[in-house]
Amino acid sequence: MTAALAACGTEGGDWATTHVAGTFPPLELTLTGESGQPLTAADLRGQVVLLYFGYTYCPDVCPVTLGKLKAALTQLDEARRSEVTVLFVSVDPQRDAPRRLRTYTSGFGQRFVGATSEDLDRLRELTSRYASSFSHGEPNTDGDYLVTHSSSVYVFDEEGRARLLVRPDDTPQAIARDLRRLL
Amino acid sequence: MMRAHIRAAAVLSALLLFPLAGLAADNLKITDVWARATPPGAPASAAYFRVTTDGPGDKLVGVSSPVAGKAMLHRSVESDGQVSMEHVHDVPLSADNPIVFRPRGYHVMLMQLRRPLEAGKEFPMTLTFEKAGDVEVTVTVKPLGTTMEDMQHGRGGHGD
Repeated sequence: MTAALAACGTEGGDWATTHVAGTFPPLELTLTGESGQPLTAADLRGQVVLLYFGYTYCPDVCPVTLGKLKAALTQLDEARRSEVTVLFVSVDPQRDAPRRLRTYTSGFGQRFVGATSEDLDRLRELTSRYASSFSHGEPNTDGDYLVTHSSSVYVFDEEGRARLLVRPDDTPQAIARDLRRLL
Repeated sequence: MMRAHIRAAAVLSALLLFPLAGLAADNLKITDVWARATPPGAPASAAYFRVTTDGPGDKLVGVSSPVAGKAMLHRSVESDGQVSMEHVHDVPLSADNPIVFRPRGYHVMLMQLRRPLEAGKEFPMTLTFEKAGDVEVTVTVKPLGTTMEDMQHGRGGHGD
């Protein structure tokens, strides 16, 4: 409880996570959704979108982050929860086909959807839009390689405006509180 | 007959080798051993634990488990809003510096999983120390969303 109170940001009033309104451009993307169909920002209009870049081979940070978002969403009532979409964008399209992403995100709940693009430049453009990037390490003898990606989650409101940045140390309680305020 | 010989040889070498390793291993205390249930279709997972010693310094140098075709010592590193993983060759241990594997830090990367890790199940894992040799531990699989805080407060078995 003390930690949750101490986590109150001073920037932009009493947001518990980081308030970034005006810092980042609105949500704009053209990807392949987990069903294999194109996915654009227009498809997500009316939803609060939590955008996270990762990959399914990621054993630690990605499931930790998605698990935390899941914990935050379970703290919302059902009506509010139905207005939130967690968009997990894989920056590892070579290994993460849409079908794999659909299976993977289903493990976190209905509000989680996956997307990617076979066009790495398109993914680069998208991450750089939000002042981030990603890179693939050299494959080892088994062909396995590591991926460097953003550690933050970008939160967009129902009109697609960038509003918050969820950092690795933010708690599910802090995230849930800010989402209630946005919804 | 042949088989009996091999068994006898194995017992003999165990008697010869293990007392030494056993002595060093007796000083080690390995607790909070858990792994995260794999999200559906995920090819990899991570295992965590804590090692303390009241004996001489040692080093964790390797890991293996029958559930994974390959297991490695890894560390997640966060800086400047980016996160990456790096392979770690060894992790030092002393009475003053316990080994702590936890989410977003040191972890065992379990790759080429033979089957998904299901919450509530257990599996064996062998930690190899430079002096103490191989120490087998039992890993408990915790649900997706389990945090280190859950583990410390004994809530690791719950989740939805």
